[in-house]
Amino acid sequence: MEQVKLGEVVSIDNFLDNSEWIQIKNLVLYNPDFPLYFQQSVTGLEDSCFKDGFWNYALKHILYQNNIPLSPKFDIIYDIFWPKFKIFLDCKSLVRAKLNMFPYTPELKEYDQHVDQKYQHFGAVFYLNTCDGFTRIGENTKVDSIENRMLFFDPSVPHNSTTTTNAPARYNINFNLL
Amino acid sequence: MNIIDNVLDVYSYNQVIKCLDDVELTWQRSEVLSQETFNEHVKHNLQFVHKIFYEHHIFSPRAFKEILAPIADKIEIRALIKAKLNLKLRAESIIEHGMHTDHDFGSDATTGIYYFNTNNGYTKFEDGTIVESVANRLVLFASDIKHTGTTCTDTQGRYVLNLNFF
Repeated sequence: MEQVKLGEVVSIDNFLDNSEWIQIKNLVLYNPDFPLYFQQSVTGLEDSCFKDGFWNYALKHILYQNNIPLSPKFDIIYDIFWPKFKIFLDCKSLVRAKLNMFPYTPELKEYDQHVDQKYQHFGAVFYLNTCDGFTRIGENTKVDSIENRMLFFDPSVPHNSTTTTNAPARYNINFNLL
Repeated sequence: MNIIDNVLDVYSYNQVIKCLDDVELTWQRSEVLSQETFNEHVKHNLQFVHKIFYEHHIFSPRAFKEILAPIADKIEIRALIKAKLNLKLRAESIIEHGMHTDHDFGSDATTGIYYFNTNNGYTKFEDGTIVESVANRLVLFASDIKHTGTTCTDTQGRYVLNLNFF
């Protein structure tokens, strides 16, 4: 199988096999004890739900950042995803991993565009539920939120996320890889 | 190749050494290199290591915080690959262990060696360049450059931090 090249936008459906997918769903979606933390700025830049509208927030759970596993859930997620990344990408190291939850809004809202890092690298967005939210890359590329879909792209390219209007929330796991 | 002397200020360096010297810091017996790569008789192929970070996991939270972090703060690390402490005990003569690279991730990655103590051991590179073991010195180089460490003869041992990162 040909690996995804740096800079390519590729989405892969049914990324996890059934047992892994059930394990992840049980860990996050069906787990009332999975902790999520309020983030008043989705991009970490100028945007804020206290300034731009109450919808403009997200909940997050940092798994890995600054070379430190920060979550007791990290090992489960890492053990499932890392071997897959090694198949699909020529990646050697993890920069960051986090889980995001974006809220329901009556009208679909797009968050501000941002870059994850200034240098070119692999980004991987794993969609945990199907809804009408999406990831926008640049101006014209939209990738729909479909459960068990993985999106690979270069997150040094401006991109943004959205809320959802047809589900209670929109969940994904974001990875940055080198 | 980049050689940075006096990486840490005096206070930070002393704190690092205090942690390194702590009797609670455990060392594991290890080969210096695989015997195929090792230049000398197998009887010399022994060092002690303290694993700090490997495959996205911290094996020694204390060494990560008290030794690695102050040094890592002085350089730009996007993603750490691995980090460990090496202790090579004094030998009767200087032995060059064998040219090698720490991994096969290529020149995009960087290898770093931080020297905790001054001694007559050194790091030698494939082009013949020698970087002497000087306390509080850090040498950084592209990970695809072959290099070798050595023993020392003038102190009890040669202590280094070995790190690899993007």
